[in-house]
Amino acid sequence: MRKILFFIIIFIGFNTLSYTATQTFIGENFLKFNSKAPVEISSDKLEIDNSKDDFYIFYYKKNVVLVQGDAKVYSDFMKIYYDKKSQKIIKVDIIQNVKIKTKDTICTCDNGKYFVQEGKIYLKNNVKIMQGGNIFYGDALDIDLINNKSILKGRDNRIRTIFPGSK
Amino acid sequence: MIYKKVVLSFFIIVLLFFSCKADNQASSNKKLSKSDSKPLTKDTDKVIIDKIQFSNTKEGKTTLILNAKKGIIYRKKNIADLVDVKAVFPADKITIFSKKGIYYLKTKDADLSKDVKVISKDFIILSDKLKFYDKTNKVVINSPFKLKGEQIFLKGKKLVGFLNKRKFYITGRVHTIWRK
Repeated sequence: MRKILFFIIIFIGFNTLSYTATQTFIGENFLKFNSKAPVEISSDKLEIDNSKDDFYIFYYKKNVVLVQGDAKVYSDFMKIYYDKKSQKIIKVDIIQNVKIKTKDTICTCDNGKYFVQEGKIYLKNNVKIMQGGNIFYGDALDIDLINNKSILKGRDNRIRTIFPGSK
Repeated sequence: MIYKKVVLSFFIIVLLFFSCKADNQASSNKKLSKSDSKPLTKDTDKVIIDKIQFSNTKEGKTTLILNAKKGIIYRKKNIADLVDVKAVFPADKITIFSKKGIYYLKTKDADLSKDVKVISKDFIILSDKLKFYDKTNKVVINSPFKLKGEQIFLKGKKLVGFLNKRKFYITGRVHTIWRK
């Protein structure tokens, strides 16, 4: 019993310590999306999967570009989950070589998820943010488009920040 | 006496005139009647059928019901030239309309052209041409097309749809606008 308790504590502790270092960015200029604007997506190929009862999956492949307002998202693949009942996009999976460009910021990472109705973006793995000469590195980036809030997370205290030297 | 002969001959001429006219009317009505089948010319290869219908079945289930306002069957070529086509895929709940079509009697495939409109529960597809292959239950659009839905507008160049698997593949640069 004690051994089981010990392992449970270690497991919970490991998970809570997964992202030990966080940095919070709050402001209008950081990855600003007009989340109410229409979403335009282009790609070299598209697969439409209607085999599920509840939703369609639109699987965009090769040279995918998503444009919403002033923001552009580039990736190798993108999956759109379109709910049949509500006739709305529920989620966008952004897969491989992700690059997000807004007016003042460029962000790159390996993968991401965009929950369109909630206005939330979750980017993961090798996150790099370049904004006004500053560069930030982390393992995950959570973006709240509605409240203009972004949280950069890193494992093992590994959020690196580079500020350009002042003249 | 002469007067009576003249009047009688006049009536005979009038009667003859009207009877000839009636004959012409009857023969032209025969050409326009909606009988089942009638050779267009002495050549029996061509058969015209109004309100023609074809249906494809597989394993006892109807996979396609194809109706046309008019069809000309060419027996030697084993094709039917169709006008104002409506094709219904009951299992997939898809209906396709087109102004023209060709139905292949041997293979049971179909080529639809001119103002092709594909209507499903959630989308409408507009194109100039569409081919249906019965054996593989496949639909192919090889020309620029548009797909419209409640929240989506899509433009593509080529579409291949596998009705059984409920999957559609679009190749060539595709552009989509989602209204969200």
